[in-house]
Amino acid sequence: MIAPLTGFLTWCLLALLPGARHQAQEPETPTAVEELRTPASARSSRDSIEMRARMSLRIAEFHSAWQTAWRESELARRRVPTDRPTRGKRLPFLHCHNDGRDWGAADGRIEVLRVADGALIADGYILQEIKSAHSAYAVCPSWLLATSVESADDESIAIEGAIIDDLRAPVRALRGKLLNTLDSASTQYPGDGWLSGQRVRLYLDQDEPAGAIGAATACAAELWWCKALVAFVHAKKGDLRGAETLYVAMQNAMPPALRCEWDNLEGLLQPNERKDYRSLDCSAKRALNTRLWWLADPLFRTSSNERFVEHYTRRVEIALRTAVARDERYSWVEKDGGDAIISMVERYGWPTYTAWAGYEEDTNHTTYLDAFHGPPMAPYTTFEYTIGRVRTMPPVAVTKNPFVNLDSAMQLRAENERGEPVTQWWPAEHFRPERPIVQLRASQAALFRRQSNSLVAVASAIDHPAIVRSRAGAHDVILLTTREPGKIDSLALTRVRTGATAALRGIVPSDARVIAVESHSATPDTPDARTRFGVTPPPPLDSMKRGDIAVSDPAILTPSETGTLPAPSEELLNRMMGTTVLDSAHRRIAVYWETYGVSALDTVTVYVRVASDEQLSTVRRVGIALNVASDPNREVVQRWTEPDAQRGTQTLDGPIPVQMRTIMLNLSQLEPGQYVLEVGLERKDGVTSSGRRRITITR
Amino acid sequence: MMMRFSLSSLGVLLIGTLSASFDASVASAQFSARVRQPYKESVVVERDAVVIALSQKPTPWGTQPTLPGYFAWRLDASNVSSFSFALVADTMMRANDLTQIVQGSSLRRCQDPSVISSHACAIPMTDSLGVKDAFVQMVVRDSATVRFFLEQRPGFVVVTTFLPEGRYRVERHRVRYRVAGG
Repeated sequence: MIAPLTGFLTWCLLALLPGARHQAQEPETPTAVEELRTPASARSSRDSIEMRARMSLRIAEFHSAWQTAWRESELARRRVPTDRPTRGKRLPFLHCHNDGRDWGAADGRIEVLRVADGALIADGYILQEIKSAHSAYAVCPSWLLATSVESADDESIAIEGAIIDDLRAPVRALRGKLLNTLDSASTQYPGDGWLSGQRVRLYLDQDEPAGAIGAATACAAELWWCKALVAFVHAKKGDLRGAETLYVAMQNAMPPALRCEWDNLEGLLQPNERKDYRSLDCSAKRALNTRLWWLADPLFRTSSNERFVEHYTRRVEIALRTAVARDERYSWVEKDGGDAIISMVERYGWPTYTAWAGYEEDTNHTTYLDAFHGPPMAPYTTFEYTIGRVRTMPPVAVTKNPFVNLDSAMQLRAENERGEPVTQWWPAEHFRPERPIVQLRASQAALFRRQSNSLVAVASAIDHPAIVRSRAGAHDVILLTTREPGKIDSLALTRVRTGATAALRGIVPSDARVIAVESHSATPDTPDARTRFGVTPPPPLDSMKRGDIAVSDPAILTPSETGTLPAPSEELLNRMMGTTVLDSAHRRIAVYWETYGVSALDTVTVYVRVASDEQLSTVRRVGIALNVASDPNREVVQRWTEPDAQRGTQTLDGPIPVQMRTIMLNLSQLEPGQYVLEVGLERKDGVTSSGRRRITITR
Repeated sequence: MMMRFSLSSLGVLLIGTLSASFDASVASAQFSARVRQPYKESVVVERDAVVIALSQKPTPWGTQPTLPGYFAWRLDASNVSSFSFALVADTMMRANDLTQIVQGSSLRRCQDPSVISSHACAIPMTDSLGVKDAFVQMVVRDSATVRFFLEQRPGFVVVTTFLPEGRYRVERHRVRYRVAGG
């Protein structure tokens, strides 16, 4: 992941400009002394190398001034008494040496724990270092390490958030002057992509998007770079759709080798997936990337893939910063250790807050690096991110068969029972969507055969605690399906209140596919929510032969207030429960299912069984024998023979008859545990068929 | 002071708190005791001169490529009244030789310390420049500069080193006074 950026850096600095390219390849440049004898004013004023050198100095001077203001801001924050408890907590993240020596508990005073994957936990936070490949420098990004930060705003939104109020205006004035200088230079060198890029970056930092878009659209450098800049501005302005279109155009305009470098997603994968990915050639990587981005899309319902846009926005951000070697604080020179920062930004984006511990700590850390022959990288900071971000990049294995076990592999984040994110989860990558997204906690899906396709019915409770806390009124919930990248179909839409269950159904072809339920509320602070899973629909009725029988999935329904059930029909699926976890308030349930190939006149035995699938321990068996322990293997079974006028079966005649069935079940005699709900048929000739669903009974 | 963002407002559960007893000073001492001090830059104020030693490179390790660009050192003292001067190359160079760089540079005081462009620091200063032990050796005899240090007695100056392609390093250096009362 790092090496490609080296290539880009070289390209960006030396190859964008014809003049620069010539200079870089020409070894017979004047000696320093010769240049000294020739004042700049006497040489060609159109020397783009000269221009870039001057502008580099101007930008560096601004950066150092910004850094001074930032240091003053951090020192001011450290003078606040409430900051004191956080200092010790931040130090392991600031020094970031995961070598177990400096932070070990030798004297019993520094409490840091090593966990299984080699990471450390410091004060309840994962301390996961990203090492430089070239130096002893490393970074330890983390969630925010304090409950609040004085006089700071989120600098991932605006870099001036790191500066205290009093110093923002002076910094802004300095940047304004710098921009005037750069604008003047750009009129002479409109084809200088480096200059265009720096103007775009600085205009965005100045919160002048009009200037940024002006600089980007005036870019006359190579096509791909100019498109990258325009896309970058669109992304920063929140126009995700426009940015995505432009980033795709950027990819298509890139030289193949450069595109291969930019399309390298190795850093976003799980550590154990990276080696195999690295071994792929460019075309194989691109094919895999297509599937990764397909499933990494946070919401299928939106027209843009926010995670894709975020990734290439980070790429452009890195390109803009590596092009000046050092930004307001950090060195982006890879051999100095900047590769660690590059990797961090690519995986997690720009941090929310960076704490600095002062000049003395800088000296200490620099001397530590020096002991390991590492160059200084001061100022040393923490890299802290707002919690609640999500990981949407799927495991590589899931992209090969997303129709199996997709739901468990696509959890957005780790959270506690109250739906709050936890600090002891730190993924390989994460990002903060424009609107927060949470994982719908439970859902129930059932598949039914239709003539030439399948009916999928899904119910999801829109009751994630974060949604409930947001006090949103109503949610638009949509059922979607996708089978391959670029093809997403919406199946159904409904509107439900917070806490209610959205029951949706739609017709899908009878092939394996991904099903998604996504909710959105107009209330601004309400999280969007999603769940997605793979399904393999049963063959359609068309493919059944006369004499075949089959049974659908059983769908658990909420019984009516009176405890009665209307005549079986597909409409009953509107009452599907949004969960398969039955608490004490749901011991009475209704079940809907369908049988295929059985007519109203056929004699069959029908059964419904709820039985435990747990293995009993020896101790438990002894306890049951002694009547001192309950038997969780107690089951609920109903069995009857049809035709039976008492059974309200609804039959749809046809070449393959379809019977719709319902039944009420009382599960109150069952102990809490895991059970299988099975609905089945037995024909006189011994042919059987059944459908199953795993359910959980809780106290 | 305002609190602009907070974990608690985001509904965060801080779990598994182990201890907040970490002692930063202990860790600092560990580092300091283990490793040597690599820096030799210094600012020494004498009766009629300020003697300053500066390294050329942000990285004493390895060699910098000879990239075309400007070199500059900016010294700022702002803990009392602001004062700023710069040793700045007069022209773009492609050089990695400190003697050549110093030969092509001149020391100038900044009329307005808040101006960030080193090239805008235009007031000539009386000085002697040289290279000693791979460090830039500046002996500033400019009366205004010496007077500033002697009267204001700044304890620290911030030295910013600028190299081609936007590289720079900011460091704070203690000022030593070798004069009566210093």
